[in-house]
Amino acid sequence: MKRSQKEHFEGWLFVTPAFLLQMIFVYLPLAYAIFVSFHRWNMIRPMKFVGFKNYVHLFSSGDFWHSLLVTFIYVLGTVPTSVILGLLLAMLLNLWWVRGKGFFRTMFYIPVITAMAAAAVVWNWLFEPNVGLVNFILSLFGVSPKGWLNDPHWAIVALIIVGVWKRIGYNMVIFLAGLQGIPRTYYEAAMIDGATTFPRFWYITLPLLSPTTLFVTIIQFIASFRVFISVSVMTRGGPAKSTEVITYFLYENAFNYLKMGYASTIAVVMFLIMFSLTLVQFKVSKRRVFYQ
Amino acid sequence: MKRFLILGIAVLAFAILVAAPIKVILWYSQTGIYSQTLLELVNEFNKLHKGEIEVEAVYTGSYTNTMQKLLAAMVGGGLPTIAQIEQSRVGQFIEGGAIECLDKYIANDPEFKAQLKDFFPRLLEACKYHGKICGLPLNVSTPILYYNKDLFRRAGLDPNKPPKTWSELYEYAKKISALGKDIYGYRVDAADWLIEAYIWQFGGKIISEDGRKMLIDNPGTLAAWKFFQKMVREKVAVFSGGKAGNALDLSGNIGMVVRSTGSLGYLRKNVKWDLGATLMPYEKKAVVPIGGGNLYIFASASEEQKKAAWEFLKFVEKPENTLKWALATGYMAVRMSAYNSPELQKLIKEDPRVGITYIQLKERARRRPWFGPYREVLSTISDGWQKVLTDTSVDPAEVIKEVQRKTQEILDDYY
Repeated sequence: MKRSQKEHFEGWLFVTPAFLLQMIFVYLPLAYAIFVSFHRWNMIRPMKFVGFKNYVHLFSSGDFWHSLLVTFIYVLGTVPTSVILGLLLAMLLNLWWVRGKGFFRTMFYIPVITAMAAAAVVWNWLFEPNVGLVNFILSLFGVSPKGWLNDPHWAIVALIIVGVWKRIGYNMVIFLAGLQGIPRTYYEAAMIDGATTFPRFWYITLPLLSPTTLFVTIIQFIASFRVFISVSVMTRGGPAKSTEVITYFLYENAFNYLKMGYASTIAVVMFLIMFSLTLVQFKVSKRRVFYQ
Repeated sequence: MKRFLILGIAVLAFAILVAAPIKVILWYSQTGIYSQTLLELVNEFNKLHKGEIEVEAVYTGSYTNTMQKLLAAMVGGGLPTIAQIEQSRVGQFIEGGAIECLDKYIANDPEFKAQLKDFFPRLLEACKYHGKICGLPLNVSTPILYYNKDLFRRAGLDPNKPPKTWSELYEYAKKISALGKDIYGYRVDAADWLIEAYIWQFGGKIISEDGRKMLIDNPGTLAAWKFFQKMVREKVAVFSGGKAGNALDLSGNIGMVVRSTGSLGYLRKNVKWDLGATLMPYEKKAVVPIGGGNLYIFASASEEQKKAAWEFLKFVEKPENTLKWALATGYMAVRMSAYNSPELQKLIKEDPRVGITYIQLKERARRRPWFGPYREVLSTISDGWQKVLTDTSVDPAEVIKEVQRKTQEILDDYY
C-alpha cells in the first residue's frame, strides 16, 4: 500500500464510529421519514403508497397552519427575551465589582440542567389558578388572578415564561465566554478617547459579541421551534388547541391518531422550515457579524 | 471425550429449553394500588403455574405512553403477549388484525363458556368487536356524581336528596354557587367519556352504529352544550380539568362533580368534607358510558404463549379475583357472583356509595364508540367542547356544525 493510500484508509477508520452513529441515528431515520411521508401507515397494517396526498392534505389543513402560528408565537416570545435577558445577566455577572458570581451563575444555570418534565410539573403547580404561587405574587401587586393553563389566551404566555426560564442560563454562560474573549485593549482605547458606558457597549461589546449572539440565537431558535416536553406535560396542546405547537401536533397524529405517514410529512416540513430559516439567518447575519 | 462434553451440553440446553416455563409478557398502564393489586394477582398465578407459565408484568406508562410503545413494538418487534389497553384506543389494533379474538378459546373451553352467563352482560358487550369477544374486562368503571354534603346543608338543600336530572342539578348548583364568590355548584370536565355522556343524556347521538357516519350535529348535542355553557357563563359551574380540576374538587369549593367510580377510594381518603355520591344525572336518557381498559392478547404471540395468556386471562376473571380487584381498587367486579358475594354486599351495605356504579351497570351502562379513527374524532369533539366552555359567548350551534364537518372528513379519509 502506498503511504497516501494508507493514510487515507486510516483516516476513514478513525471517522467510522462517528460516521456510523450519524448514519444510523440521524440520516437513515431522516431518509426513512421522507419515505414514510409518501405513504399511509398506521404502524399496524402494511404501508400504502399515496404519493403527495399527505402533503396536499397537510397544506390545506387549518390545524397545521394553526400549529405553525402557535409555534411562531412561542418562538418569538422565547428567543428574543431569553437572548436579551441572557446578555444582560452575563454583562452583570462580568462586572468586576459584583460579588458571589459563582453562586449566581450556578443559580441561573440550574434550570438548564433540570429535567424539563420534572420542572414542568412544578410549574403546573406554580400556575395553578386558585392556590398557585404566580397568582399569589401577582395579587400582591394588585393584578387580578389569571387562569393561566386553563385560559386559551394565557396558556401560551405561561409556556413562554417557562421556556425563557429554562433557556436564560444557557445564553448567559455562552455570552459570558464571549464577553471574556473580548480583549481589554479595545475598552482601554475607548476610555482614553472618552467613550462612556453606552457607546462602549454599542460600538465594542455588541459588534464583537455578534458571532456569539448569532450562535445563541440559532441554537435557541431551533430549540424553541422543537418545544415539546413542557407542552406535553403542562397543557397537552390545550385549552382548545391554543398551545398546540407543531411538535405536539405531530405527536398527536403519530401516537394518538395513528397516522404515521401524515406525522412524517409534518416532520419533513418542519425540517425544511428550520433548515431554510437557518440559512436565511446565516445570510442576513453575514453582513452584520464581525469576526475578529 | 470432547465430543461427549458437547453432546452433554446440548442435551442439558435442550432439557432446560423444554422445561423452561412459557413466558407471557403483560404490559399495563396503572400505578399505585392498581398496579399493586395486579402484581399480586400475577404472583399468585405464577405460583399456581410454577414451571409451566410465567407471567411477567411490565409497567409501560400511561395509556398514551403504552400506545406509543405498542406501536413501536408493532414495527420493531417485541410486542407483549397481553396488554391493558384503554377502550377507545384499541380500534385500529382490532381492525388491523393485531389482536387475537377469543372466540376460538372460548369455544374450546366449555367450562369457561358456561361461566359467560355470570359476567355482567353490558361489560361483556363492551368487549365485543364486530360480534366477537376480543378482550376481557380489567379496570372498568362508570362515572358517578359526587357531592359535598356540607355545602348542600349550607345552601339549605337536603343532603340525602341529590339531584336526579340535569335540570334539577342546575337549580341545586345555583343555590350552592350563591354561597360565595369562589364556590361553584358544579365542575365541568373535559374528559372524553363525560363529553360523550352529556351528549347521550340530553338525547343526542355521536356516531352511527357502523362508525362510518357522524351524527353529532343534532338537537340533543346542542341542548347539552348550551346547558353546560350557560352554567359556566352564569358562574354556576366552573370549567376545569386535569390536576387543577382535582385540586378544586379537594378544596371543598365545588358542590357537585362527576368522576369515575374508581375515584371513590381516593376522594374518601383525601377530602375533608362530607362526601356524598349518587347516580350520574340525566335529562332525556338515563345512560352512562363504560370506561377504563380491557386485557387483550396479541395475535403475533406463539400458539403456546397465547394459550398460556388465555389461562392468565381466565385467572384474572375468576370471581374471587375480580372481587379482590374490586375491593382493593374501587373498580367494578365484572362478575355477578362476585357482586353478590357476602364481602361486596357487606361493603355496599356499610357504604352505599360503592354500590352506585353497579346500579348504573345493570340499568344504564353503554359501551363507548371504539372504531379505528375514533381517537381523532374524539379529539376534534373535545376541541369544540373546550371552545364552547372557555369562551361562553361562542354559539354552540356553529361549533357543533364545524365539529360535524371536520369529524365526517376524518371518517371519510379513513375508510
